Amino acid sequence: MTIAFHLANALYLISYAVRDILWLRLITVLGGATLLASFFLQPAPPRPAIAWNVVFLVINVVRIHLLIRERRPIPLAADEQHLANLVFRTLRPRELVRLLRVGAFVDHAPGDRIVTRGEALDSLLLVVRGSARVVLADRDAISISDGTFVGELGFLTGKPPGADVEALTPLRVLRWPIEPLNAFLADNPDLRATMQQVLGSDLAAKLRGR
Amino acid sequence: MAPVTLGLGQPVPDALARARVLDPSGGEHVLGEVWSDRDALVVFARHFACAGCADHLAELRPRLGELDALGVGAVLIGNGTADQLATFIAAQRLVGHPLATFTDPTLAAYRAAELVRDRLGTIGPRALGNLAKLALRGRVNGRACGDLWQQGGTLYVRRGGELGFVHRGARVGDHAPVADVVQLALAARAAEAGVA
Repeated sequence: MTIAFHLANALYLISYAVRDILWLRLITVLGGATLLASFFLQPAPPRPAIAWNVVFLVINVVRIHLLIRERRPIPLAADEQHLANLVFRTLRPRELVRLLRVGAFVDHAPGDRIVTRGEALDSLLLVVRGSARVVLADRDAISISDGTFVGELGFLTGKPPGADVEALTPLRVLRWPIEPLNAFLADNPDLRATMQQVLGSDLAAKLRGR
Repeated sequence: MAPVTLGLGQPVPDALARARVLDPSGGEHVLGEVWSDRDALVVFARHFACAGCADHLAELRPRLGELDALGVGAVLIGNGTADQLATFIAAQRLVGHPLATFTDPTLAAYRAAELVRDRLGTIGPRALGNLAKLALRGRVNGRACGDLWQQGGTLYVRRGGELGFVHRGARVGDHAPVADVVQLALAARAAEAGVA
């Protein structure tokens, strides 16, 4: 019993010395299990101490499970990987997937009107694959393709779009409804900063191309 | 405390546009020059050894390039001497960043921007609570270089001098989220680009 008790405390000591939270919890669980064994080896096992240790063990096991799940690499679908390469280069796959899943992929046929000038748009769009024509009021039409945002005027200012947008080829876009996207970004400041950076680059490119 | 008269969408008061500030070498500049040809983000720091200001700068520093690309000139104003400003620039690793730095030892620009000057903002219970939170993040006040009771603030001034955003810090550690200012710059550029 005494050996198991000392072994458990030695394991706790080691757990406090490691930096990685997963290792800390794993060693703590090992220490907790050893401590429990030492309690059961006593002639009169102390039930309150056993109960509390079981609670600590359960909490740690759940946390270990969540940590392992968070750290597990996740495979990206082809369109997700395409956007990761093209637009969201700084995001980790798990962050990217969380951001993309606030929206949905939508397909359009050539000739479909995606956006109508002056008509309120409740979504921010990102061209995933294909090309579209943007017809501005006072300028020549321009063509946009993979990785270009559409609907950013409404997203950033609340104003209706200043251009018509029409699919030129089969077009896949990612459509984020603005309200859920804003709510998600408000809860995730790092992703908000990333979104601002990519929108800023997109706008700068559009201003240069004017 | 005098009533606040600065309003969004209003022109910057003459007293602020004409305020004279010093660069690190002691040269005098008229503040209004910074928004004469581009939008400007004007950050008023507290004293140069303020833990909250260092925290604010840590948030602002990585986004300065982004603001510059969006056509926004970032300006930092403190209130110690020009020499203290030069020391502050080195300590905060601001060299090489697109950030103009000035100091306003007379507090004329602070007064014109109607920023708070208050002892409670420095030593009141909420200020002390903020100092404790900052200390947990590894940021502690140094020896004050400037006015200890002057609080900071953030202005976004559109090209030509229209106020787009005003935040008056009430106490140490109370600063405007940098992302909110970047959002303003993005909105301004989106409107300018005439995008969809």
